[in-house]
Amino acid sequence: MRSSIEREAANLHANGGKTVRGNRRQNSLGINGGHGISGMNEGQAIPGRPHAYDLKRVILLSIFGAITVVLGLIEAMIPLPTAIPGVKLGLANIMVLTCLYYLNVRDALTLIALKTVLTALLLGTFSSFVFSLCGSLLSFAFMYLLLRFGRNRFSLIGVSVAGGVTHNIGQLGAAAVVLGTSKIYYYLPFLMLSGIVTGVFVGIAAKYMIRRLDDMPQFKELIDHDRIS
Amino acid sequence: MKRGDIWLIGSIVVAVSVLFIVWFQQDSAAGAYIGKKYARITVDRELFRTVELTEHEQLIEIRTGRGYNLIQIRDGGVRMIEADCPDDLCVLMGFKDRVGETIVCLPNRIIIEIVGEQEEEAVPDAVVN
Repeated sequence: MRSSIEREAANLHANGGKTVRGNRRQNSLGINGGHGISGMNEGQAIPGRPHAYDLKRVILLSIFGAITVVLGLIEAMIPLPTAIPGVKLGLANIMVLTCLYYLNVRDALTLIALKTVLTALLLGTFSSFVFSLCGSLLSFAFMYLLLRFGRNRFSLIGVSVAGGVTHNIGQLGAAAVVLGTSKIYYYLPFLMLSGIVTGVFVGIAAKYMIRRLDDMPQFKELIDHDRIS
Repeated sequence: MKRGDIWLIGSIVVAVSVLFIVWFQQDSAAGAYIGKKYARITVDRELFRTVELTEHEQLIEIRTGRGYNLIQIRDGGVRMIEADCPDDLCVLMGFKDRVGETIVCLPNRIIIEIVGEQEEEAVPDAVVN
């Protein structure tokens, strides 16, 4: 399956008969910018908005990805006074929530892939890659389902709490499989508790961030689709 | 916050409370345990050694392809005193001496469980190496 970015980049170039192939990571991190600008010129020549909209999404996703990675790095610098494996702030989830809010599922999934791979490469903790990927994917699935089917019932805080808790459960599940022991569920209550607490704060942070972004004209046109508050 | 949030967070809190009650019951049962205790050290899903938790000091060094760990057994408990993993979480976990407690070093795939006598006997080949 090709990534959504590649597909979008390909859409931008469809007129020139060119398709953009290559590495997912390279495409979404700036290298696409060059293609994007030429894409915009082509897009202006053609009536209708979809091209400009796709371009905007690619750029936004690149920016979101960069912010996510930076948040991950900042988080790694903050020492937490706990000795429970897997407890973390989950700052990057702010961007995943923002991404789910402004963009769509595919984009949010791409963001998670970017975040996991890049953070693992930059921090050099490749051993925790599997755990964090399992946690991210499980939490993403739950957040997406809550947004998809309970958009009117849950606010970002509820979605974020569900994400935080399921992230920790997924991580622990992966650790239990890798270590081949269920003894690790000893930590489950602590991890779930930490998921609730960090989830509430991440939800509040995402709410404030989206409130500010909504005021920016660049984001206003993105929020024509279903809203959550 | 919406009504759904309250329900969602409330039900998770209830689930966590139940887990904590179970956890505390197990933990207090473990606290009441008197008898020999053992540290069962598992490296990369395979049993490495089972060592009795003694009062005198024992040092166990584990060197694998993934990294280096130094386990200290002393005062009837166990702690990880050195590790070359990136987060050093296992060292931060500190001193453990209750049955059921664990020290985990995920990056190096090491798990140390404290087990009681019956559990130790359940793995007869444990002390061979």
